[in-house]
Amino acid sequence: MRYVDAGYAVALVTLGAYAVSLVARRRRWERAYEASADPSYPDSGLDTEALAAESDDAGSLDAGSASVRRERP
Amino acid sequence: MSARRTLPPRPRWLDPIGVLGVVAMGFTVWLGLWITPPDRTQGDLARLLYIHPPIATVALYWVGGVAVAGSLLYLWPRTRSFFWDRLAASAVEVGAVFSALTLVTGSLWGRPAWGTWWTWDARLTSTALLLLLEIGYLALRRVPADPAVRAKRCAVAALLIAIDIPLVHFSVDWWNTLHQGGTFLDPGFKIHASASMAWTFLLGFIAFSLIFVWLLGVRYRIERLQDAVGDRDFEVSLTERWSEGSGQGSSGAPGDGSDDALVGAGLSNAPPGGEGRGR
Repeated sequence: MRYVDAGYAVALVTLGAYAVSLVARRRRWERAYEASADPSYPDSGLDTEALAAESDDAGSLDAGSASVRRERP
Repeated sequence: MSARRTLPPRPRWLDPIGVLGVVAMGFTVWLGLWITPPDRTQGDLARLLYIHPPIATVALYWVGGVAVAGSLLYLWPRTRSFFWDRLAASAVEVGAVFSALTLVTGSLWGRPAWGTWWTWDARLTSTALLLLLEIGYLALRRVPADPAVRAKRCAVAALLIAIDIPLVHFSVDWWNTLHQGGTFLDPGFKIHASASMAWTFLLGFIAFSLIFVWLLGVRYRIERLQDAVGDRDFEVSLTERWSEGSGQGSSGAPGDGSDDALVGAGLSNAPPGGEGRGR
């Protein structure tokens, strides 16, 4: 029975640990996303409210252009 | 400059699926370890078959299906969208975990059944190859590149996984393997097990499938957040560049034609190209 017990234990513990790690990563990235949504982030000296009020029809900056990807923890 | 787009909220249906999966898993473990009778031939060792084939099914068919379909849909210009790329990448990462578990639980079954932890049997070897291909895909994903270039590379890598899936599936038919064919179902889908065993087996499939869906959803959300944070950082960088430019005496307003340096660096607010849209 020990092989059976080990099999169940390995499967459940691995999936549980992976699920917990995913939830932790998601929370970290949600905090990073919320921080980047803060109008005062970063203080560029520009009128961010005016920028935010411009039309969205100009399209996004990311599509089709070279992208600068910053790694966040 | 565009307003910052907000990410849609997390889907509400995802967590209930996870809860359902955990409950189903609990019943599977309870039934598998304590309620179902031992097998006539394998004895208690057969209890591993309530988890090993379901894990393998997820690793091969659900993961393979999502990863390959997502990659093909990304590669096809009409349906190209980073949604498919993110979905495929999420499926491959979850799939790597399930593939590893398939091999481990299989070894734990094989040691007492075959007398060995490992053999270069067609089914085992092709499953190990699947795990290696998934790890390779994940390594390729970490290579720094433009998102569209990265997505294309990974989509092509996923096609190798597509080739391995039928190898794994038909390995027990094409080659003279140690690994048996269907345990509970024969090719005519006739069940060769007692009712409690068959129902526990089915419950195991449902449990692991639900857990896979939940893990995939969470992993996809992480991909989406990473892209969104990257996009915002990019917008911030661009805003800073423009503000520097206006501070240094150029006409300064974005898009007025004087930002040749930005154009040359590919950072202008030019209309988006065809590839990589749909984020």
